[in-house]
Amino acid sequence: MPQIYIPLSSRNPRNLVLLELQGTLEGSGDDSSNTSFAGEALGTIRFSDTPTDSTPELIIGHHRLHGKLVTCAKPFAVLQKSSTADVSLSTEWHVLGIVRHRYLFKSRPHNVI
Amino acid sequence: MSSTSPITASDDATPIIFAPTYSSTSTDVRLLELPPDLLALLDSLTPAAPLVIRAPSPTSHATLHTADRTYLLREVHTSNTVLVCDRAPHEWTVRASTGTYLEAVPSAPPRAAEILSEVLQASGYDGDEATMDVDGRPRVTMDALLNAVPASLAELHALLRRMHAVELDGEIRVLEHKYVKDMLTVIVSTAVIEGWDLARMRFRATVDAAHEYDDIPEPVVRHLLCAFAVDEGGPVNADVADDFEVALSPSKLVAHFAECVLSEVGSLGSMSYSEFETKWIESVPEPLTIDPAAIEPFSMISDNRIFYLPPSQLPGTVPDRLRALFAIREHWPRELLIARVRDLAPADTAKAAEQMLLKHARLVKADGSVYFAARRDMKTRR
Repeated sequence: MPQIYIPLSSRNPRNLVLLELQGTLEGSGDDSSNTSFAGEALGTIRFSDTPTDSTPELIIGHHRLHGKLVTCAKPFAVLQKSSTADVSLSTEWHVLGIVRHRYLFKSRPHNVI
Repeated sequence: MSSTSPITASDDATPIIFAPTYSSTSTDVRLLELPPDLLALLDSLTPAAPLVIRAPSPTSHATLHTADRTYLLREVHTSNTVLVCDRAPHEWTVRASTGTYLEAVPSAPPRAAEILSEVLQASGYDGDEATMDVDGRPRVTMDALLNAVPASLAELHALLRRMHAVELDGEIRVLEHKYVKDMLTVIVSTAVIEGWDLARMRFRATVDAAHEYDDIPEPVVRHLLCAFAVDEGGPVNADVADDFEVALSPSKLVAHFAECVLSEVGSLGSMSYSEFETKWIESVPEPLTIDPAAIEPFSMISDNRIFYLPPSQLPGTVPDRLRALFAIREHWPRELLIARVRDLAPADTAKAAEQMLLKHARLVKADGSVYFAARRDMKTRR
């Protein structure tokens, strides 16, 4: 039976955040079906001038999206598969961190003028 | 939405960049939703055994195990795109994107008792190796069981203890019912001869004294003292301590002698209650006496007959278990049926078992009382 091990040894969890978007991302080049974004820029994010930075604004290309900070009903552990050269029947995943909130962007994008 | 347009970062805007290793089709980053106890485990600063995910086959549920609990894993699809980002003061990096997450639902180890019985089918032990050492008998180790049974280590140990499975010479062996009865008779008789109190039995003294009457392997004595102790499993670290003291439970002892008589009819079988009681009384060594309450966990008395319902041999899923139980009794009192299915409930509480039953059975009123009965679609329900 294949087994996956998740060591509970993450003493330096990454500062992770989730961005939840309605819809999908598409490239802006000639081939809009190209989904290889590695190393490319997505956009920018800014927050309204409040201490809690709970009202984010996301700029992606020519679109502006307004969102909000949402507390996850149940937190998520972000797991990453370990890369190893050893050939083994077991696989190891590591806990990168725990996310308790996410930025949700569900309103219709506005065009950036 | 389109990406890859030039970033015009302003003083208050943070750029978001896809990592050089980013791939929209990669599954190397996953989200696992954490119920409260898993969250507490991950938040804990004390070292703990790793979580283990097991997937017996592509068509069965994957399970996640902590040191002492089991969760069913389900993949939940969302209609949204979730970007997992590293957040730094001057730049966010998108590590991965996903439209799914894993949901962990607390569960009893699915079919663990059934799988254990299948794997250990040829691993019986009755003390006489000459008759039990069959050529080609597969040797089952603890590691092999951990690979085969979707249960946490603690749950597996508890299941093995309940089925009287012991590690002998690196191999897991299931002590035969009659062998356990005979060895318990030796231990109890030894206590009488030595003038010991059954409530204060010492392991090392029992090994030494019992050895004079019968060659009982030390692991067997250790298992029997712990399995039949008032506190289930015996004292802490009794599985490795050189010596320890236990209070043997007269109720558990006489229950085993009863089960040896009743097991002759097979799981879900029955016999005349008067015949059973006679045999039971004859088999119990002094100073023990029979205790009808002791046999309730694995039997049911109806119409002067006693039915044998050993939890470890009953069907391992709720629909199959209920189908078998309703086949021998149409209406079950609430407490009796809860006791029969409690091992299948997500949590080991009567409330969890009752909530589970309400999803799979119906309540009926008969003779002024409320009972559980089979659902009308029981035959086809899986």
